[in-house]
Amino acid sequence: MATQHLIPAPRLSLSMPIGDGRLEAVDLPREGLHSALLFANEQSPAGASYQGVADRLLADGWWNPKRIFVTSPTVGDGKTCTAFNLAWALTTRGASVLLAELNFERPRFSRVLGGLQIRFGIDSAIRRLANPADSVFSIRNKLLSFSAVKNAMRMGEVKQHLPHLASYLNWGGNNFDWLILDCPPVLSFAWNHWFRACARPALLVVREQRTPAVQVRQATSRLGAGLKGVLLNDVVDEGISDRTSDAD
Amino acid sequence: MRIILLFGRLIALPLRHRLIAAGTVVAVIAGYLLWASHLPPQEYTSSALLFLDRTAAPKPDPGIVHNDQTQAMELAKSILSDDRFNAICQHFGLYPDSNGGEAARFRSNLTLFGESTSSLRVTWRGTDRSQTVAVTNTVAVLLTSWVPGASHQDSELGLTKLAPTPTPITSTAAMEQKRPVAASLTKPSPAKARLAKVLNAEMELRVLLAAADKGLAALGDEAHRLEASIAQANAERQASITARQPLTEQLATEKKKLDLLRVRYTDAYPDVETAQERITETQQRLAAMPDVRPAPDAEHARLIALTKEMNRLGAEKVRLSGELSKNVKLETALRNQEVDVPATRPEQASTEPQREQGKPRLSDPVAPLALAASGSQTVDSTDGEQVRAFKILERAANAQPTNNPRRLLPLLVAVAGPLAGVLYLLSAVWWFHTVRNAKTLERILPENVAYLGAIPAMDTWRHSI
Repeated sequence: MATQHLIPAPRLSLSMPIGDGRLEAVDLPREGLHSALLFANEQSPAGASYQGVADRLLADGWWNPKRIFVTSPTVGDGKTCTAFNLAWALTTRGASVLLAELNFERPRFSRVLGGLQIRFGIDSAIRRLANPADSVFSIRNKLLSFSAVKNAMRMGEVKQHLPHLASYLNWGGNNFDWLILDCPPVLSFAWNHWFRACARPALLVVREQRTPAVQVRQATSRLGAGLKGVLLNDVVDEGISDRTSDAD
Repeated sequence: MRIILLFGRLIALPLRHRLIAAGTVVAVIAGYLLWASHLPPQEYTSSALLFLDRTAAPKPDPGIVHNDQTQAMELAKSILSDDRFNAICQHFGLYPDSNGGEAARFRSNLTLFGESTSSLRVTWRGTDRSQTVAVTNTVAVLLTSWVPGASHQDSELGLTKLAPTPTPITSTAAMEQKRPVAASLTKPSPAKARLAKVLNAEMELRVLLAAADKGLAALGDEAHRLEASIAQANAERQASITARQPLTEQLATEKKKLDLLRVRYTDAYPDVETAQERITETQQRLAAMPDVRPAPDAEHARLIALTKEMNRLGAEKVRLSGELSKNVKLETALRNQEVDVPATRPEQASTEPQREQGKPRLSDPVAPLALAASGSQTVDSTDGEQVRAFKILERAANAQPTNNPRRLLPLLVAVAGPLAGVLYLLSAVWWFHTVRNAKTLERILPENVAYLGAIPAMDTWRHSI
């Protein structure tokens, strides 16, 4: 803690699109940021763990296509922070990453980023109110980009506009190396037909000592062949849990 | 493994959709409460067994096919008219909200069943246990007191209480046979009118007697209970007095001794002081003993009042019995008068000397009255006592509760409670069986899913910042 007082942390600056292809630099106050976000606290020991995960994802190109639908059995397993940190870890390896929020009914990005106000969100893009590029703001020399939900949508609206998400993801795939998509919980109503059909490959986040085993079974069953990897979050004793397996 | 997965899915469903599960539970409970609030009240049935004297009962119409067991039922149905039911309903205060439908509702709760060729079971269903017994007995009394000779006058006198329901005649021959009887019955007769009044009065007296009996029994029970209570209180009081008696006597002796000592010595004298100390000690011991219970005066007073009430009811019962016996005698006399009328006709006696006594022909011009008398309940026994169609074999003594869905509530609670508890415990155990570490996670995961690694807990690395 004393270190923070001696060496002030660098300012976080966002490139925020304001329409018509113009960008505006916005300071992101560190006080309001969620304490678990690594891009604002790169010295934390968890960074190494995430970077290890990123290395595994990058090894041999086995995770293909380069999209990660991050989900968890239920709420509270830490999938949003995991998505943020995984995106950050991939950028530390030189990859450009677009982190998009797909939890349209209960958006969390704005709150995690300290109540950040944006002009256009991913919801604006799939409603065709804005270009995809106008909904993306970036940090760290534009390697790490975000696309958050500006206004929460109702279930009916989500069902209506989700088909437009495919073109958005295609745009993201063309402009970024990796797409990390923060999805709703797999065992919720929000995990609708579109997610069942399109959300693959998926990464399931499980929280140690909290997520019921029965729900993990349910989630794996529901994700089926779309599930490609699992990440154990919030581990107390890394000696027991730090074992990894390679994909087939 | 498949079973575990299946069970897991079953348990996970309410856990995942907790709002829906809670809503379902609330809906089930609300539905049950709604259902329970619309349930009919607990009902009781009570039955009395009547004996049918087939020799005294009216002969069934030749045109109507009766089997032996339905004869009693048909006769009883013909006796029990709507007016009688209305009278019973009025007497017992039944169905106050029926607006004229009392008789129909009463009839729907009444069951007549011929148990054998000569017995009839009368069963009534009601919501009050004691009232059910009383109503059943009243119906039984009505059936036993029915006399057809009086009933034929009902239409003339407006006393339809005793009128039997006309039995349908299904054949021409039967109609031919019935016609003269019916014709004669429509003729007014002062003796019959008087007989009808007597029978009505007799029926009312029997109802009053039954009420008096019931009241006496209730008062007797209460008096018995009061006597037992008073006896117990007196015994306790006496025991307490006996226990205190030696100390009381000792205190009196010590006081006398102190008085004697004070005559000779001052209060400072040691013997006087000792005597005073003893008195104080005895008084303290007496005070430490339980107080003597006061005599149970209130219960005595209540017992005296009860006794007076019982005496009054007893006198009333004696009076009613006397009136009843007078009525019975009067009824017998009136019937004798009726039966004697055709028998004393000289022309009939001379033209048919060979006719058997008590079996008049239907074609006889005076036969209908005799037929009406002899063909049914109006046949008198040789000793002058009236022979009736029905006699009570077994009075209704108790009312049994009928099957009611409300009775299922304790059973439902007894079964559903533990079941819900077990399910809750199972689900709780299942819920709290969380992913403990990577080992348990790998055990759950399918083989083609990669375990990418573990992220340390936030607190762990926040402390190390």
